[in-house]
Amino acid sequence: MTNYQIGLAGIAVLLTFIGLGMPIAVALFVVSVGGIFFIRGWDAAFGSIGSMPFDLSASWTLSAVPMFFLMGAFAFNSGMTISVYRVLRMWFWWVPGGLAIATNMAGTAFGVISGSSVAVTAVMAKIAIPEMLQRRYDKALATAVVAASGTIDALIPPSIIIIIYGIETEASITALFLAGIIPGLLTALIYSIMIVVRCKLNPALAPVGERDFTVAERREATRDSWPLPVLFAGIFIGIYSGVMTPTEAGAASAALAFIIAMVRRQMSLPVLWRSLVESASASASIFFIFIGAALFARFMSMSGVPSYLGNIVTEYSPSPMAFVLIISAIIILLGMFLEGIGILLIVVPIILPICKQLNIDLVWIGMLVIKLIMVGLLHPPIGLQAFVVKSVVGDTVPLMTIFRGLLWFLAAEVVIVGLMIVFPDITLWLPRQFGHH
Amino acid sequence: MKPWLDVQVARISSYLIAIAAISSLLMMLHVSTDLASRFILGTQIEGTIEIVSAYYMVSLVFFPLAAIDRSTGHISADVFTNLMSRRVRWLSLMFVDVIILICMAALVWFSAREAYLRTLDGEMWRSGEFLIPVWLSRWFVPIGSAGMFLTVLLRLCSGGRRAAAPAHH
Repeated sequence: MTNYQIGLAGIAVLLTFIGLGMPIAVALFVVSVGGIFFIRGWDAAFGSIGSMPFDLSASWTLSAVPMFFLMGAFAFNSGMTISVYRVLRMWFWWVPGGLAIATNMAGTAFGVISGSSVAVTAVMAKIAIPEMLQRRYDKALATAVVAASGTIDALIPPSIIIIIYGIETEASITALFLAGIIPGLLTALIYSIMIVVRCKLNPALAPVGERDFTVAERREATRDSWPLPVLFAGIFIGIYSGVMTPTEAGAASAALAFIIAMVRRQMSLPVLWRSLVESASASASIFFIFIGAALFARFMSMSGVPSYLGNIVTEYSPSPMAFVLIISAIIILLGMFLEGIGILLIVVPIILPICKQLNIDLVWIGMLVIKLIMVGLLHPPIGLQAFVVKSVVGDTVPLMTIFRGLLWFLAAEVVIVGLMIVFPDITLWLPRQFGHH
Repeated sequence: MKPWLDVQVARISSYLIAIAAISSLLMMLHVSTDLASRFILGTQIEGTIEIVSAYYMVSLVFFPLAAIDRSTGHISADVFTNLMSRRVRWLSLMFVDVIILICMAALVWFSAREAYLRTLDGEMWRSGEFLIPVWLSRWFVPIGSAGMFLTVLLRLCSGGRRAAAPAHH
């Protein structure tokens, strides 16, 4: 067997192991060690197990991840998330589909403070869906908007998946953070336009509600939502002024979120402990995969699979655009059964050398890959976000109804992804304004 | 015997994740203090990067592994296993657990050997004028991995309980 045949066989075994329910990290680890053994022998395979896990985890750059997770956990467990939704619903009550718009906007705003889109989706499903159903909103719209808006936070800085991509590709995390802002806001905007147009054309989807608060209450609620802009300003100024590294910005924002929760009397020992344990668990889950993925990247590089695939791509389709479309299709397919960061860490080592070979901008392709991964969380048959919502709503709404609602959001995603491919400036304009590229 | 063992392994995994949680708090305090010191006093705390990288980070990566395995489980795809019959799923998950066990055993063995060698060398990292001992945190890898090894071993010995549990992501 030639080296690239071993590499291709390794990819097949990896997908089989993952299909059997093996943790992605372990599957990556086992396949990589086995593959390196077949290519380079015992010493190379087992020599790397001893030192590589420590060398990879003892990383200053990677330490931004647990800090942003911690900030999200503090904000989330101390109730900042809920107050944002409350104020948004008070401002959007008069718009057709107002509660759905508020949910969508809240999903975008949570990008600033959330560590996990699944956690935020679960909470939003508990708060927003019962209220929408009570006001006779269409079940498909009410559930789908929660599932879809939960994915927007992956593009809004500080996003964990963006940090991981930045570390994998050695692209500037600051540039990536900037690159995600416009596609994130564009997604929220197109979702909102789609909701308003649908509700305008078919008012039965979302009956206009009655105002159930006074202007003074709304003013009070708006004042009460100050932590979010303060946190966003702290992160933005810290990172983009160049005075803080992502890790320092993460630690400072976590400390800021902690202080804000203390000032608002929403911090207690149980909240503190739950936040610490949650952020430690979430970080370790991702780092474990990261170590497996680093071994996998080494295996792929030894096997020559990326350059072999690169040659095929350049031979059969010299256009980078054709390559981007192929990659998009592969990610959408993987999204049918794999979780987001898992897809990222498996795909990036294979496509990165090809992207470099074809001179594709790593910031642009990164945002596109992350966007497609998020789309993968929405489409049938798996669509993790739909299952998260389903697990909260129980028998009230059938799964098929949630997926039926998501079809509209997937149609919106086709437009958004199309715009991102045709107009790369949507992604690259903002980083350029801050001196990147 | 088994309930006693289960309690002990549960205790070990909760101690380990508690250390990781405290590391996360210390990391936040340490980096924020360093930042404040840089802005207010114009000086940095020596060794911040090295301590964050070698101690807090390694602790955060490896110590929660056992607790994650016991609670939500590590990130995996359950699409196909959910389609299997109960018996086939049980067999598949037993196979997966055996592979995890071998994988963790290899990780414990080789990382412990590496830690031992680095301890003999008295491994240090230089930070400015200071030398920071790092050999100690090398042991975090085999300790955290051993916690997960024990968790999976116990599960296998008790007949693969995970197969009966509801699917998770």
